[in-house]
Amino acid sequence: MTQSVQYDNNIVRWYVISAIVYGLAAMTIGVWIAFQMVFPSWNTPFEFLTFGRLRPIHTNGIIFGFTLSIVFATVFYAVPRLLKTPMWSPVLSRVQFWLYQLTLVGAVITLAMGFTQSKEYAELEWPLDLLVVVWWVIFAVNFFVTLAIRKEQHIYVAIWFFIATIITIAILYIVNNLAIPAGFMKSYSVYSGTTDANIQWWYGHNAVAFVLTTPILGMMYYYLPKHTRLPIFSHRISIIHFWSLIFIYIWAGPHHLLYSPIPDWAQTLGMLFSIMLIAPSWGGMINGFLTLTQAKEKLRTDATLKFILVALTFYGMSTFEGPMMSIRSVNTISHNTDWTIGHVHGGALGWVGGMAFAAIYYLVPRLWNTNLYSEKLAEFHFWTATIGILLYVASMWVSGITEGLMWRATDATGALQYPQWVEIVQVLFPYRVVRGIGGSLFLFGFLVMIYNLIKTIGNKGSGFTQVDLREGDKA
Amino acid sequence: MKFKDYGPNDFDGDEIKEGRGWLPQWWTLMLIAGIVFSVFFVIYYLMILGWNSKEQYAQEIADYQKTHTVVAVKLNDDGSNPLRADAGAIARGQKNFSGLCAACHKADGTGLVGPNLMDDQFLHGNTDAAMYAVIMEGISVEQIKQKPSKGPMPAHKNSFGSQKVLETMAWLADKNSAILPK
Ligand code: HEM
Ligand code: HEM
Repeated sequence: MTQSVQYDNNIVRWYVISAIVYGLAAMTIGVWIAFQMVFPSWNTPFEFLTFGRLRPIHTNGIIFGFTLSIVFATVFYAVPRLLKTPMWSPVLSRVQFWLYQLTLVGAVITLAMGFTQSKEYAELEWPLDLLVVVWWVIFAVNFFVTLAIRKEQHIYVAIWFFIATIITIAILYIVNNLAIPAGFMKSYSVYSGTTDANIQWWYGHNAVAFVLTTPILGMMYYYLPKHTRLPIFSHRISIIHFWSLIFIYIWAGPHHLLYSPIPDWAQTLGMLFSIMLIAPSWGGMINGFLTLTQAKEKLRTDATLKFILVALTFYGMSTFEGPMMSIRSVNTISHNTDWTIGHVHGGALGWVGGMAFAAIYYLVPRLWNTNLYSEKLAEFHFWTATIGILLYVASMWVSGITEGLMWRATDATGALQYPQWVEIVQVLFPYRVVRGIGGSLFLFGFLVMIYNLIKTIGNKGSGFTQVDLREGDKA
Repeated sequence: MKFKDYGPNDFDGDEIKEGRGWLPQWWTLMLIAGIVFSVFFVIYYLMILGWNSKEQYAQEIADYQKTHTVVAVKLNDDGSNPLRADAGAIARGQKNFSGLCAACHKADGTGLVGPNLMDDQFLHGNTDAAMYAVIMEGISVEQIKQKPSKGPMPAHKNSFGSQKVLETMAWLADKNSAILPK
């Protein structure tokens, strides 16, 4: 490094802290609502503590608070370094940050008060939607100008994934949220009936794709080779899986609407594009795994690397499970059951959570120029999180399939065998308790991480030394 | 802009290198297989077989009606319930009642939004035959408009079928002597 470039680390530090704050809040609520499903009395005494109010706060908080914060932290850290160009406008970075915080606070308050557009992951009412568009456009401008004035010609894979995210989310968010305001906190969607449903799940599915998948792949492509100082296994795979993933993902939305009144051909299309999606998704996983194998000895000692391994494993698993659930005959059992919830959290806790923790353990020592306070605690965090994920996912599989089969069971006369809803809920009780315990473990690991980070930040400025994870001759 | 920092500003280290590894063969095959399968599926399933969800639904209904006759048990010729005083039927009847009826008529049958079934007042008749007709066919909104009563009720021939309706009636008759065999 000959010329010295001043990077804006402050903004990255703020985003890391924001991720931790929203992660803590949203996961605590996640655990709370998990227990509400076994102890209904936890819904009282306040309206805003009921499941219906807390659930969207959990999902919005975790997706747009926790996940987006760590994605922004990565973008503002990695992109300038990969391009050897500081962000074009630190002022815009700051304006974006504060508008984003304003939106999140507004989201928590309005959702708690019960304002919602009744579209999943697009609950926020129109004033907040407008605010989101403003800071997203600010972000896009800042990002693309930086790209235009870059000093490094080569645009690395991680950046492709961020570009895809910025463009696609803008389109999805605006199109799905088009609505006619009918008062300050009330609006009507411009679409109706099946069109509305189809657009909503085109958005819903791709919110998963372009918030919980592509930017996380971008994170993987940055942190994995940086942390191990090893080359990414294959540039070829990067190219092919990037383009096939981007092309195919967009069409898969109707797999959320199987056996609904949308046309049969659209449903079939959604199902087939989901099946075609296995290979492109696995491309990212393979590229990661094959890079990791070059450092496999260090997997035993390095918690960050372990989190990346777990993330890749769960990514591979949920991108296989998802296409299976898109098959119409499987979906008749899985739809609306806990199985979907298990699928969600395999991806969310394993893939998004794992990669986010790896990012945090990578960033914090560098940002505060010190070494991680305790590698042992990070190791402990890894194990509690992993056991938590396994308990969560496994209990939801059992619960979901049990539930799906009980709903449809008929006796010899053709009548429903379990006409009493409560009877089914009682059968699911133990699995949902286990889910709550798994979630609590995951949250506990998160708290341990926070303690570790506070201790680490306490030593700020004491000097950071990178551990060399390469094996053999360290050329 | 000047940035406050805790030391060196940049820990970027070495540049990321990108390997020249080839695509694993099984992966390439999988990618192609997914695409080929999808094209084949559309042609075969939608175009040649002409599958559609309406027909599938009609087929499932037809299959269901073949295997499950809704009217498996009938009233006696005099219109009374053949399962009256049958201990097994009464026990099953109570379970049926708590499953599908209790939401409106309360678990003990004394009524909530639906009328009380444990007193001697009946809106639609108190004989087995009259009750059987009401429970099997339900009370439609049209009926209520003509003869105002408490509210509508779904037709339980679609959910219970005759066997379970008669079991449930056996339990009711066991609890309430105002329900007459004929
Ligand atoms: C401590 C960890 C967590 C716990 C205990 C937890 C618990 C829950 C519960 C109980 C629900 C409602 C399920 C239902 O309605 O049946 C839920 C929904 C959801 N959670 Fe979590 N969660 C956790 C972490 C996360 C994370 C890290 C993410 C994402 C990155 C996430 C994303 C979601 C999403 C997207 C839904 C909605 C799923 C759907 O509608 O199908 N959760 N969570
Ligand atoms: C190839 C990849 C994937 C496919 C084809 C896929 C497919 C599916 C299907 C079929 C459903 C159930 C829809 C229903 O019955 O209502 C679903 C739900 C869901 N999946 Fe995936 N999935 C994939 C990967 C992922 C990943 C990696 C994540 C998370 C990081 C994820 C998050 C979700 C969420 C949040 C839902 C719940 C949506 C709702 O609220 O109903 N999926 N997915």
